[in-house]
Amino acid sequence: MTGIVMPTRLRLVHLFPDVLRFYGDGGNVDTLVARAAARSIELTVIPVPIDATTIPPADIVLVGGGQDAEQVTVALALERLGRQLTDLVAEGTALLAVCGGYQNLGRRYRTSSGTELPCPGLLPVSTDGVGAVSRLVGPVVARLSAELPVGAAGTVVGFENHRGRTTLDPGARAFATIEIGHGNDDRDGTEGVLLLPGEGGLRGLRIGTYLHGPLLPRNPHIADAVLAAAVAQGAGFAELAPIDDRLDWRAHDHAVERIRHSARDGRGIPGRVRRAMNPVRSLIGY
Amino acid sequence: MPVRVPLAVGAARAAAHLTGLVHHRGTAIPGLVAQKIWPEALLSLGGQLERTVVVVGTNGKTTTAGLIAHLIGHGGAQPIANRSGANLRQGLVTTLVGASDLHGRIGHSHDARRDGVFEVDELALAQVLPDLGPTVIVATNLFRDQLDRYGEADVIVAHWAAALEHAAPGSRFVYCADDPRLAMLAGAIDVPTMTFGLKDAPADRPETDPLHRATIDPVACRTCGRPLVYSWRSVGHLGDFRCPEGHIRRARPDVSVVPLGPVDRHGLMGDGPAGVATVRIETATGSAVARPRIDGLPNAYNVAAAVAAAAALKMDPLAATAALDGAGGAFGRLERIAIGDRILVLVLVKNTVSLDETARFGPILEAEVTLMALNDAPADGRDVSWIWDAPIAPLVAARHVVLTGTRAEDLALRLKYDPAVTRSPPRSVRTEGNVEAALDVALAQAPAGGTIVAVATYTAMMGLRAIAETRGGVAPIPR
Repeated sequence: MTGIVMPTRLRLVHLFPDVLRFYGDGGNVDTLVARAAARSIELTVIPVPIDATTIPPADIVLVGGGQDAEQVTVALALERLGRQLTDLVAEGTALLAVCGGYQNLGRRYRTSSGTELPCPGLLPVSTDGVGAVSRLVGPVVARLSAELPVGAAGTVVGFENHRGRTTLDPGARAFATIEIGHGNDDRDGTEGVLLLPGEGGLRGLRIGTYLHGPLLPRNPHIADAVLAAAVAQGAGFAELAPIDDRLDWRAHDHAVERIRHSARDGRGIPGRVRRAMNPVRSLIGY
Repeated sequence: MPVRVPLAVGAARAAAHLTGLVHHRGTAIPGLVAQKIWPEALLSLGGQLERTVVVVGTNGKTTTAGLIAHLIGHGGAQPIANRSGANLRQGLVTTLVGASDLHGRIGHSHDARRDGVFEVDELALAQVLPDLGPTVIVATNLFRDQLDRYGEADVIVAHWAAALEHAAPGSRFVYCADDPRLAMLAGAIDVPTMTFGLKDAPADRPETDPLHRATIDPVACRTCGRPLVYSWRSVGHLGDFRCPEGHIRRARPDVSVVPLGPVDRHGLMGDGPAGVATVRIETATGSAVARPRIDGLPNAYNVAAAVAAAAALKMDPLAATAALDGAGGAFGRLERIAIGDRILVLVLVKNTVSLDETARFGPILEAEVTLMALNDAPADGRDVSWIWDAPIAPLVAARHVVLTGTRAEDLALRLKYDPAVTRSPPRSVRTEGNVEAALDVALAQAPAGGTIVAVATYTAMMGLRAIAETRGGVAPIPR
C-alpha cells in the first residue's frame, strides 16, 4: 500500500505473560522484534501482567496460551481490561491470539468443568470444553485464507494441543483450512479465525489460532502480515522490504514435508495393521 | 497353569536377547511378552520383594532412583532396579523377569528377600501401584513437560491423587516441599508423608521477575484460585510459596539440603560425571555432609530426595547422607565420556526447566563446542515449542555450535531470533541433519583435549551415547 510513512518505532503489548506463556509464546515476540528491526523499526515490548489495571497504547497485541485453571484467571482480568483491548483494536492495533488467548477472546467460552467464562467478544467464535472426550493434539499443516496478503506461500505449519472445540460464527472467516490436523472443532476443517483490518467495525487485523510451535518463526509470512498491519495502523497492510528468510523457509518447508510424509505413511497402511502395530510403535518410539 | 511361568520368563529372555541385538532400547518388549503370557507377572514378582521404592516426577527420576539404590545397596545386597529407564509397567516387568529364575522366583533362599527401586512414568503410576504395593513413593517434582502426551500438569496431579488412593497400608509418600503442586496433592490424600527441600533461598540465583521468565509455571491456589506468591524461588516454580489468602504455604522440609558448591568441575577425566559437589543435609536430629559425584541445584534436590526416601525406609538419614559420598549420576545426565582425546559431556534435556538448568550449568563446563540435538519422536515429545521458553544464549556464546536432530532447523531459528544470542553470538553455527556426522563435526572443531557439551533430547541422547559406545568411550547402559 502506498502513502504509508514507515514508522521507526512500534509498540507490542504482550498480554499476561505471567500467566499465558505455554508453547513458546516468547518466540513469537522475538520473531516480530527481529523482523521489525530488519526493517529499521524498533519494536518495544511491553509485558502487561494479569493484575494490570490498564493496557497501554500499542500497535500489536499478542496473547498466548495457558492451562484451563489459568484461563479462569484470564477471563476475570479480561472482564476488567476487555473494553480497553477492544478500543485499541478499534483504532487499528493488530491482534494475534494463540490457543488459550484465542479461546478467551471469543464471544463465549465454557471450560471443561462447565464454567461459563465472561468473554470480551473480540473474535467471532465460541468455544466449548464440555463433553470433549479427547484433546486435539498433533502437528498441523493448513492452507491460509486467500484474503491474507502473504504472497505465494499459502501454507501454515504448527502444533495444536487443545481440549476446547471452537465454532466460528455464521459468516466468520477461518484463518486457514486444515490439510493435516484437527483445527477448530475437529469436524468442519477450519482452523482459527481471521478478520481483516476494518472488518466487523474494528480497524485492526485480528488473528485467532490454535497453532503454536511457536507460530511465527516457522511462518515468516504470517509474522510479516502482522507487522505490515501494524505499520499501516488500520489502513490495510503496508509493503515491507524483503529480508533474508532462507533459514525460516527451509524450516517451514521441511516441517510441511515431514508432516505430509508421516500422514501419507499412516494412510498407506491398512487401519487394522496400523492399530496392531501401535503397542510396538509406542515402545520403540516411532 | 505352572508351565505358563517358565514359558513367560523364557519368552521374555528370548525377546531380550533379540531386541538387544537389533535395538538399544528394547527394554520394554521382554516385559510386554512376559505379561502377555503371564498377566500376573508384576503382582507375583513384585510381591516377592522385601521393600519397594517407586520414584515418580518430571525431572530427576533416574538420578534419584539411582541414589536410593546406592543407599539400599550400601548396606548389603543390591536392590533390583530399572536403571535403563524403561519406566512403564512392561519395563518394570522386564527388570523383574531379568532378576527371577525360570520359575518366577526372585532370590533362591526364602530368608534373603530382595529390595526393589523403580522409576515410574508419570502416567503409569496407577497401573503399577496396586500390583507393586510399594513401601515408599517418592515424587521429585512436577514441571510442564511433554504437553502433547500428558496434556496439562493438572492432569498428572489428578492421576497421582487417584493412584495414591490405592497406596498399600503403611506406605509413605515422600515429596518435594518446595513444589506447591505436590504440597497441594499431599494435602488432599490420606497417606503419611515425609518431605525434602532446600533449607533456604539458593545462593546462586537472585529473585527473577516472573514476567520475563517463561521457565516459571504459574501455579494457583487450589482453594481460592489466586496465584501463589514466593519469598524465593529455586528451580522453575519450586520455592518458598504461599497463598496470598493463607490457604496453603510451604512447610519446612523434614530433610533439608544446603548446596555448598562444587568440589571439582574440571579435574575428572575419562568416564565419570561432570563434577563433584558438596551438600549439607539437615534433619531434626542433626546434619551431615555428602560429596556426591553430581553437581548443580537440581542434583542437590535429588540428593535430598534420596535421603528422605532412606528416612522413610527407617534408615538413619545422617548415615545415609554420609553414604552418598562418591555416588554417581545416571547415564546421559551430565555424563562425561572420553572419545579419543576429546571429552563429550552428555546432557539430557527434555523440557523448559531442564534446558534452563543446563543453560545455567553449561558455561561452567568450559567447553569449546556445543552440540545441540533436537528430535521429536514420541519419547522426546513431538511438540518442541519448549525450547523457546528457556534461555539458550549461555550455552552457545563464543563457542562453535553444531545443530542436529529431526528438528535442527527449529534450533537454528531459535538462535537466529534470540536477542541474547545476537548480543553474545557463537563463534560458528553449523547444521548437520545426521547425528553421527554432527558429532564428527563437533569432535573436529574441539581442540585436542577439548570438551564438547552435547545437549540432547531423549532419543538423540541415546543415539549419541550409542555412537560413543561403538567408539569405545563408554560402557553400554546396564539393562
